[in-house]
Formats: sequence, structure tokens, C-alpha cells
Amino acid sequence: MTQTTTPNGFTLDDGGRRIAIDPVTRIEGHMRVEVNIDGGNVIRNAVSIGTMWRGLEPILKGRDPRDAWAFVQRICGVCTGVHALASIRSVEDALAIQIPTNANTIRNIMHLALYVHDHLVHFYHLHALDWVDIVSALSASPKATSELQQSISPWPNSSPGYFKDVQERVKKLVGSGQLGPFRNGYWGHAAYKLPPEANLMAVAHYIEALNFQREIVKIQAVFGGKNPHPMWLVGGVPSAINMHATGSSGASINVERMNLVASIAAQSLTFIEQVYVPDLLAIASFYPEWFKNGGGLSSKNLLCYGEFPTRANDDSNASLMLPRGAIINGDLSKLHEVSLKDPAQVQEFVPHSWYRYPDEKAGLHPWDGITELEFRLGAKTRQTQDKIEAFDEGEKYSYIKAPRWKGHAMETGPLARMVIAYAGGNARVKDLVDSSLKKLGLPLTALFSTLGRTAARGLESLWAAEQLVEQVAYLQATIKSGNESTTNTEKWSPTTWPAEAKGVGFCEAPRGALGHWIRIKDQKIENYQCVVPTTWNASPRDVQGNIGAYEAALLGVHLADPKKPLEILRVIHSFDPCLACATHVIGPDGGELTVARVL
Amino acid sequence: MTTSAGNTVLLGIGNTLWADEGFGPQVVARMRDRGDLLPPVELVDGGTQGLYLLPLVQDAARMIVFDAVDFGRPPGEMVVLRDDEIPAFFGQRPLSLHQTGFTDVLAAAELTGRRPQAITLVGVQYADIDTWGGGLSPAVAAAIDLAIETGRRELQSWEDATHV
Repeated sequence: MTQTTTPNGFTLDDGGRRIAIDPVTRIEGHMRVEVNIDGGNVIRNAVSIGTMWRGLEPILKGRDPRDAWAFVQRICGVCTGVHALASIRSVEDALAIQIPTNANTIRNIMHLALYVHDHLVHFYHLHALDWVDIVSALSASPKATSELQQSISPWPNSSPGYFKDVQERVKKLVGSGQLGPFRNGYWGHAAYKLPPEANLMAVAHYIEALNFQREIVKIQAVFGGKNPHPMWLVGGVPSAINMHATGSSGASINVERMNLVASIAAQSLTFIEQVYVPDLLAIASFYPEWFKNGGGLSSKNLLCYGEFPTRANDDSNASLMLPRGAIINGDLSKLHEVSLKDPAQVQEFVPHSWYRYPDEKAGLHPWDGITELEFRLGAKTRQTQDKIEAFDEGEKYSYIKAPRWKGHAMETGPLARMVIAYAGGNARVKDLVDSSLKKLGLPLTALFSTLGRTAARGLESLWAAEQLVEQVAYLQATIKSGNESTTNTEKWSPTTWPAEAKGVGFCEAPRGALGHWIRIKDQKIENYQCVVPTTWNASPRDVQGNIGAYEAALLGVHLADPKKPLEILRVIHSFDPCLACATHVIGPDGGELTVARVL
Repeated sequence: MTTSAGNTVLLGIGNTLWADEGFGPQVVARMRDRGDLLPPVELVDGGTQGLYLLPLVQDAARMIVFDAVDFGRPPGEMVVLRDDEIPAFFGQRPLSLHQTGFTDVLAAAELTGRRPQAITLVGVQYADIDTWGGGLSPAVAAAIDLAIETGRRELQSWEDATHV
């Protein structure tokens, strides 16, 4: 048993029992978490392991920079679009390409629609069942559920008959033995606290959200031609506008489609106001202890690159709806300026990552980043012939590099964005945060927790839906004034480019800060590096031994039943990780106690 | 995105970069090349899209799904399952989008009260789903034409049933 304290202030103890949370997916999102628990089942050490190499950076070398977005977009099929957006912004930055106002607005609309879609799907379909017990919902009284629904929201689907019908459908599914999306739950776990009626209400909204989310993605298809993986364009957007009566059927944006987009935006706002946020507050009120657990780095270091330029080609904080900045050591009175071009700020380290640098004591700025594999396991790795039971975090243990801002491990995501906007004086964000905390009777510091992350995501959804409605109106007004330009092709031809150029494109993806750094030489990509949100949050240790956001958040969390580590899922899911995993709980002798898939 | 109430969808699911996992999409691709199906059907390469396939399933009146499956049979052997027989036997392998398998998509459609009135799985026993970048194994590649023929017969039986 070795006890150590990390430079960023966390005490680790790698004694006790080790639990591994391991992936089953082989398609996207690959991660494993290992924790050590003490005799009281409290987590004392956590190890975040990326188990698959992304490898897109070497694929991009030598390609046309205007094509890079189409490759990098395939990094993820979930938060589709964000890598494309970061990519085209990096090329536009490198080549000083100015985009038209409409292109900026359309990108904002697509990106805001993604926030709404992604957050909604995360809350209802990837995270809610960590808090909502399906089996308990079967014993709810439809009449009492109706009363509960009507007491918290004017949402019209609230009759006893409606909830009875939902209950019947769920009963049928459970009775058929095919639990489908519900088959991996720890139903009946002592950590579930909602009364049956709240469970039934949430299950009803799980189903409603399934139906509603398919509407939101139509916004991507209107502007980007299809979804997932809509089309993008260096210099603007590939959406022709024609609002006139003649010849408009071939245009991607005409009167009919704009009306569709406006209608979906309005419905999104209503759904979030009347369903998502009331559910969030109702569920959260039953789990006050989770506003204390799982805070990790969030009360210390938060990072946001900034997002949603209100003015095209202006990424200063005066233009950004959500400001760029960093908070260090929990001091909300000081928003640090963040530069993505300063070689001393964002750096990636690899002493604990399966990559090779010439000097691994030093970090590399992404413009000078190197992606060369070096897979080797530390001497303390525990393995059998065909599988690894425990990695050795003293050596290299992850395909994720360790990004640091001025040497600090940072947390990124909706919580970071909301807190940084709050600290930066964003009036609407401040109002949303303050009024919600007041309803829950909680102080601001309650945000730095598992449910704080989940709550921040919900409030950000409401904020995003409001902005979505406004941006759609702004696009309509701009077009009405006679401006139908969506693309600037002045620098489309590579002959107009300098011999060498470098740029950075940033984007606040739903999951957090995303940056793409590009170097262009002789019209081709010379080097390309992506630093993605989950790289920040799932970061392994760095050269100093600082732990990352997932690792920090798991410390101190108590497991009611280590064979059913629901609490670990709550913490990790609160980050909206871009991954899926399976849980294997390993006994002290290394034998597997139980296996449970984790969605 | 919305399709008419009476539409019939032929859906191939799987990952073409992953050996026999690519069976479903390859069946659909060959049907498209041949262009000799009973009209009107919608051919869909569902890839690994998971939950994104929900609207397709909700809106289809009839659906045939082609997929590589594990029945513990000799490689390339075909199994046809209909309606309630289906969920227990396939789609347990995660497709994508946070591990949504196709049974999850079917269950989600069921929960929303909107699923095809008829659904048939044309499954082929895979030999190899571990080789990244590999094509279909010989036995599974040889089963594509039989799968297409099986699909055609299924469509014909639906057609006959409507005209009785």
C-alpha cells in the first residue's frame, strides 16, 4: 500500500481492492477505468485508460487541407459536426479566410442544435437510468404520477391515462424478457432514491425524448444535406439560399425549410423548458449527496475555449456568446486569458501515454505535436495469457495523451462553460444558475460535483435552445435584408495560398473544449493535431504526476456494492464521456467477481 | 426523412471494415448493383448507426434486416427469423452510438409504440469478426446471393398476402 499526494492536491492510495471498468465496444469510444477501494469501499485511487488509438493525424498528412474536415468528422458519430467545424476553422485561420455573416449564423444554428440534441440524448438515454429505476416505475400509481407531473410543469402529456399507457408498454417489454435498452441496469440497487411516480414520469419522458430527438437532427440535414456527418465547407457553408418563389426548390434553404427550422427550434425550447429542466430539478432534489460527490478538478481548474461568435470572423470574448478563459485553483474572481497559439499554454505530455517523444519530460504544443506509437506495459501490470487485469499507472497506460494548460490538468465541458460564463458576467447564464440553485436550496459550490455537471448540462441546453431560436430569427432577418451570401471562395484555389501557413481551429463541443492545430506546406497538410474534450477529461497522469479530471472525480466516492458499481457510472457519465464501457469487478486476488455491461 | 406509411425497407447493418461484420451492408450493396428487386422497396446501408436508425424502424411498414449473426452454426449458414422470434438472437453486438445494438433500436421503437408490422431477419453465421480491415470470409461471401434470394421470397410472400 503506497500513499502519495499529487502536485494538484489529491491523495492516492493504490492499496486495497482494484476494480476495473472495461470496454466492450470495438467501434468508437474506447476506455477503461480502474480504481482501488479501501476496506470501507471508498475509492482511493483512480486510473483512466484510453484503450484505442485514434490515429487520424497520420492519415491527414499530405492531404488537401480543404478535405480534412471530412476525415476528422469521422472521429465521432455522436457529436457529429464538431470536428468538421474545428477543422474548417483551423484552415480558415491558417489562410486568413473570412466567412460571410450567414455562414457564421448557420454554423451557430447547426452547433446550437447539436447542443440541444446531444444534451437531451445524454440526459434521457445515456445518464437518466443511473438515477431512474425502471422496475420501480412499474409499481407507480398513474394518478399520482399525473399529479406530480402537473405540479412541476405545464407539459400537456400529463393525464393518468397517458402514464397508464406508458406503464403498460414498459411492462410489456420487461415481461417479454427483452429489456432492450434497459437490460444493463442495476434495478433495485439501494442507491436509487426516486419514488415510483418520479420514476414513471422520467420513463415517460425517456420515450418522448426518443421521439423528439429525431426531429432536432433535421436541422443538420437542412443545412448540411444529411445527418450524421453533415457537409461543411472551408470559406462558408455549402447551403445555397433562395427565398424567392421561383427556382427555390433546388436551394437547400428556402422559405419552407426555414419555416421547418424555426418550428423545430421553437419546439426544442418548449421541450427543454417544460420537460428536461423540470425533470432535472425533480430528480436532483432526491439526490442531495451527489451535489457533494465526484467534484474532482471542477472546484479547481476549468477550461473553455469559447464558442458561438456573434460576429463572423471575430473570436474575441466581445464577440463570443460563451467566453474563452481558464479558472485556476477555484478563484472565480479571476478569468485567465487563454491563447491557443502560445506554445507555452496548451501542451501535451506522454510519459504515461503510449506515444514516443524525443524528450518525454517536455510537453509539446500541438503545432509541434508528434503522434508516434509506443505501446509498452509497465512492470506492475497484472495480466493473464489473454487479458490485462490491471494496468501499471506508474508507467505508460493510455492511448490518450495528457494535455495541460500552463502545466495544469483541467476539466472541460458544460460545467466549465457555465461557470466561466458565470464568472465572466454572462447575465442569462448567471440567472439560470442562480435561480436553479435557489430552487434546490444549494450554494454555488454545489456545482462542483457529479450532479453539478449534470445540472450545468441541462441549464446549458435551455440556454442553447434560447439562442437557437434567436439565431434562426437573425438568419431570417439577414436574408430578408437582401444578404444571401453563404460562401467566400476568394481563397478557394490553392494557388492563392502562401507556401507555408499554420492555424488553429477551436470549437466547444457538447463535451468540452476541442482544438485542431494545422500546419500547411506547399498546399498540403504537413502536420495536424486534434486535442479533444475527452482527452482533457480522461487524461492520464502527466510528467509531474498530476491526475486528470475523471481520475480526480472518482476519488472519495463510496460504493454501496462494489459488485454493482452504479456510483462509478454516475460520476463518469456526468462528464458525458464519448465512450461506452463494460464493468468487470476484480476481486483482491485478481479473480473476476462480476461482469456488467455499462451503457 | 419520413417515409410513407406503406413502405418496405431492406436494411443491412454492420461494419464493412471489419471482416464478416460487413455482411449486411454488402448484401444491400449487391442488391443495389443488380437493381432487379420487387419494387417498391427502400434499400438502406445502416452501417453502425445505432439509435440514428430509430426513425427508419419507426416509419417502416415492413422490414427485412440482413446481418452477420452468431447461431453457433457452420460459417455461411443462413437463418431466417420473423417478428417475435428476433430479439433473442441478434444485434447483441454493439453497433455504435454509445453501444446501441439493433435490438435496443427495436425495443426503443416498441416503447414508442411504432414498429414495423412485419420484420424478418436474414442472418448468416459469421466465421471471423475480429480481423480489422478484412473482407468477408469465403463462406460468408458465398452466402450473399442466397440472402438476396431469401429476401426476394420474403417480399413475394408479403406481396401475395396483401393480394389474397
